Amino acid sequence: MTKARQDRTIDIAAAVEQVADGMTVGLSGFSYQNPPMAIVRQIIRRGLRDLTLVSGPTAGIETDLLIGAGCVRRVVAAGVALERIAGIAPAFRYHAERGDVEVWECDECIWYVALKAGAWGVPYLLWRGGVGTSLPELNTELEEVEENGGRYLRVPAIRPDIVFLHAAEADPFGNVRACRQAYLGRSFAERALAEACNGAVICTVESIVANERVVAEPEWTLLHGALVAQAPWGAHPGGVSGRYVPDLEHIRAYARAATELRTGNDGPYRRYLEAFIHEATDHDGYLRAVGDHELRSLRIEAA
Amino acid sequence: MSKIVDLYSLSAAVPSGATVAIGGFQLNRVPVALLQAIADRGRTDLECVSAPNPLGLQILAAAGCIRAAECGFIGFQYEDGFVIAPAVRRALATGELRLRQPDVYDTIQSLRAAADNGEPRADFALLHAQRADRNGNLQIDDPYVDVELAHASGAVLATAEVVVDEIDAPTIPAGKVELIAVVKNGAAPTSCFGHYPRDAAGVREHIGVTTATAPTPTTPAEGEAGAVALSEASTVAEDEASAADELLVYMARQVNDGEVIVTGLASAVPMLAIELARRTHAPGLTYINCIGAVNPRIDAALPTSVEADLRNRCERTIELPDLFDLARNGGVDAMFFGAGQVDGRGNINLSRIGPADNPKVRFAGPAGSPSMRSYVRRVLITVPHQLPRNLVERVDVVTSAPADRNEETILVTDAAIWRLRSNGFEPASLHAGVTSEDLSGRTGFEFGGELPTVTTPPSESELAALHSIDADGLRYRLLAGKGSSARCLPARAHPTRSRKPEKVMHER
Repeated sequence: MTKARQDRTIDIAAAVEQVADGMTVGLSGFSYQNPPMAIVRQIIRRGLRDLTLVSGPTAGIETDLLIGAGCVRRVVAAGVALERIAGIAPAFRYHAERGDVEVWECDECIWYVALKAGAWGVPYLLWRGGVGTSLPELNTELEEVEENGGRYLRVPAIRPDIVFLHAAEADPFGNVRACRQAYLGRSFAERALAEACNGAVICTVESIVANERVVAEPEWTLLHGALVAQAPWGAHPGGVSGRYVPDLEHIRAYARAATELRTGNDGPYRRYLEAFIHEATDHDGYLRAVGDHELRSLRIEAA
Repeated sequence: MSKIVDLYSLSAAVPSGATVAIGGFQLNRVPVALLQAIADRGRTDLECVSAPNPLGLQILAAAGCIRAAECGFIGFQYEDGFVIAPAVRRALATGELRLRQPDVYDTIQSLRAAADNGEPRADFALLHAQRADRNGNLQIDDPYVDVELAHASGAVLATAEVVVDEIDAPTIPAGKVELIAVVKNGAAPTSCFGHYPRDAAGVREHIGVTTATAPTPTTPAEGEAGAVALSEASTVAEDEASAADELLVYMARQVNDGEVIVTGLASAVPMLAIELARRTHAPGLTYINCIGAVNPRIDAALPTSVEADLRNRCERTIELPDLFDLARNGGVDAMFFGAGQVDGRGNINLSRIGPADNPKVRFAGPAGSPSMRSYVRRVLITVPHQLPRNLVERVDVVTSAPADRNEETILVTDAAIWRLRSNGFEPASLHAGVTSEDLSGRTGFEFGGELPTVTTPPSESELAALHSIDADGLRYRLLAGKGSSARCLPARAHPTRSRKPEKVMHER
């Protein structure tokens, strides 16, 4: 009668099979840190279209790449940037200026409030930030209202259909862990996205660890109940706090290609997609394309 | 100016008539030393708001300090069984204390709203922290509802186990904290996570019990009925023992593999049933204990489910407000609920029997059961000793009712397994040895339905798993008081049980 506990592991291809055109997809990360890039590349390989991305609150290369590859109709983020390499992410800028993608204008707090409303199952929450600004003109879903004598922005709930995260490690049963040497504190928006999610929460991880390790330090667990896909270097060219630093050389090369889009030359960008996504038919192929030597130079030595 | 003062000066900051928010949760990290110091000063007319915090109220009520309180639950389960804080009960009986018992989630939401609007609900939050620093930052390793209480208060007055030079990531920032006293063991006899466990002897002192005995007969709690001395080993009659084993096995069978299941307060028996389910047919369940432990390791039965140390051996910690949020969003499939009364339509009473101003029986309160019941898909109700006085035609007070989200409502008793149908509860199966006449005689409401089957008796493997979790037979004491006077068990089968059973239930 005694049964074994089911594990919740999945592979990258099966994870991305759960995405359909038009879905609202949550993506983890903060700027260069912890983007679920192995998933992003697989979404592009599948040629998915019309996605709404909820990324950030400050989004980075994961969002820019999906936009550049033509997968995105709408972006919910407080900004899409490549830090000092490109203050405005180039593919995002090109496609937003052309009107190919719609931008759900918000600041970081409003981004969180919208997810919080989703997590609580309420249609909206009232928020004081942004009152008196042009935000309601830029984003007609943010209405300025009066309630109990105060003025607020009414922030509608956002509920992603599926959420992809990348984290340092997880056990096979879906307990996702931060790394001790976490950047900007212990976590990013993993919890906000996961709690608002209407469907599967799928986390790619650098390594799958034993359940005993989770139980030894439960205070480091970010989430329970995720589906877990192993993807070492799965955030590359982003970094993973505590594991490896962002590959700035790679991001610069990407940004150069993407910046060419605005001059009408899409050749470099198409070549980038060919080399790192389409010809590299899976995550292992991508890592071979990047090169073992390049990857190793990014590793953070264990403290 | 330093915020660090002595306990005497700290307690001086709370004047008579003040509204205080009391930190801690059940018998865990209650600011006992500070409350005692306030009581010793003879303060009066305090108003309190708290998460379920019976011992905190007990200390203030025993000294006649409080006029009004908001607290969703005034009982606790510990080594001696389940108790309703006696001084609180007395102050309610004499009318000295006005008690509001909203759903705990309602209290939490009102604290959040107060923090949001900048309109404090309390003058001071009284907290005990693991650490403070010289700047006034507090670090709390098991915050429960303390963060919400702090932010909904004008200022925080805190005791702390230790003071350190600097706290890196404070749970409560210095800006919110007015004064701190360093009081080692300041939460004792309640636990201070990471420092010391609950001390049963000290709890007994606070409630005026001198030795480990059965407390005053009390009434069912959020999670279960149970009012027995657990520290006294007792001889258990064979039929009583097998009835307890059966009940646990039948409870465990209601838990589905792969689901997320929660227990509330005073839920030592449901916790045991969930662990049994995990070890038999449901290894993939996710169990969330409201102390904030996800999938705690339950190596052996415990006298209470609200055990802070479970946070040290689990897969994730989650604070009570977040657990309610999770449930609200559909993240909890099932929960075990206790009932003082349950009626044929599925309503539960955890409030009282009799009129509000002079109840015949006072239960501990609804805790979070009204909201949790409305959020879960599967409602699992347990009445360990079914009688016409607890399965009633109509409950005196409805503290929780069937809700739209409930797909299934199951009532497990020692007589039958009931399912809530459109016409009300119907018996799905009768336990072996229970006749239809027995069932009617023990049920206070009319019921219909198909002829019920016989509940499949516990299998050898189920019983073996149960014995392996609870080798000492704590379950017999948790579920004692059925009122039978049968033979003693052969010592060979249950060598640890040796004394007379405690019979303290059902004195209503």
